[in-house]
Amino acid sequence: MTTSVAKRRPVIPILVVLLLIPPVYSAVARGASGGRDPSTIPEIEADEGVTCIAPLEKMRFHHMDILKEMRIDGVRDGNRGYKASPDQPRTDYTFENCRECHESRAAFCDRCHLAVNLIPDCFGCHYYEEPGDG
Amino acid sequence: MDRREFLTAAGGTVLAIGAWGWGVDSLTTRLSDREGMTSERKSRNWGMLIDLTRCKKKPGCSACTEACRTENNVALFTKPDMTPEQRAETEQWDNHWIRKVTIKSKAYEDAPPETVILVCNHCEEPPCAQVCPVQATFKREDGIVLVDHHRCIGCRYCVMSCPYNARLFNWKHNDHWPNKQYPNRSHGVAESCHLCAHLLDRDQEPACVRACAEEGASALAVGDLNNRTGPDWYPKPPKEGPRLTDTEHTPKRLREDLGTEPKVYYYGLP
Repeated sequence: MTTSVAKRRPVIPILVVLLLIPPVYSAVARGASGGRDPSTIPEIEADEGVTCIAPLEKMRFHHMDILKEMRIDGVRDGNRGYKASPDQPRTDYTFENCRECHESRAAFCDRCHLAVNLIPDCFGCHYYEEPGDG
Repeated sequence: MDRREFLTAAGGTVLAIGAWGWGVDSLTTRLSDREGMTSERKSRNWGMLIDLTRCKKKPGCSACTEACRTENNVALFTKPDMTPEQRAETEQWDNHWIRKVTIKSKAYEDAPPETVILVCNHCEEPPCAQVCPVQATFKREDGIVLVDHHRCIGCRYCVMSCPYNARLFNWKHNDHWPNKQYPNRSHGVAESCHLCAHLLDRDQEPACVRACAEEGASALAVGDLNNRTGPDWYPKPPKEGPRLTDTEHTPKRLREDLGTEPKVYYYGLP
């Protein structure tokens, strides 16, 4: 192998700096806490004293995993509904129960999903009744 | 690079990948471990009994097919007001989970036409589950063969493999959604009758069985083949329905020679 006689450029350091621009920019622009755009925060119409099936952080990051577990448990094992943990009883949950608090898909699911442009294909098959539906 | 350097590099790569995988595994949150099917459910082997001698007494009845369409959002694309030409063209898209077919003997032309109810047979050795490349179609431990539509890739291998022509593919989007409690499958997935597993799992009776009993024919029954006298047979008393313990009839199955071991039994199969 012959050594190139061309000028050696620091390619990798330049690439690393360029790649780090987006996360650094968003961290600086939105503040160190990564503050959220208010239009992406879902509206929740919960009654007093009603709590969700799981804490906020778990729902925010893992709601898709919870739904996947419900599907696998329901379809493959026949255990329909939702079970919060092994020592808690199984509740007979469906989308209908989520709608008790989260009445409108547009104000709830769609707000975050449209903002991050990560649109799952749930509602082509699953029905989510909007408040105005007959 | 000599052999020693190569082995060192290869071993180091394997160790690095292993360490990364172990790190991901231990840092990833497992939300819950699958508890699996309860032993009570596993002890069941769901099957069906169709008494055609009772079904014959109500010619022109279509209670079971209509109930299935309403419960499971099974779409028809043909409309009653279509011309024969339109119907011939559109029939191919029609979806059927349960069918009532009329068969005529070719050998004996004077023989009257017979009626047979056809559903997915939920075979013990289901060809559809065997050929599914992603195990979207699978046989549950309680004997029901059903499709996980999230996993189905729409290859239609199961549709081809079914010797009973029981499976269908959703070639088109449809707006037929009478039962909002049950999903309406989108264009692109395969499906078939699943003995209303979503109802059986909640200890409710399948739609066709309920409709047939209400119609008065009482020709359909769904229940646990492991316990033919037991409580898991629908329709439940006081409703009337056929039972496999009936000594007057000999149960037969379709195409028993194929080795699929279907679990739908018939009385009065011609």
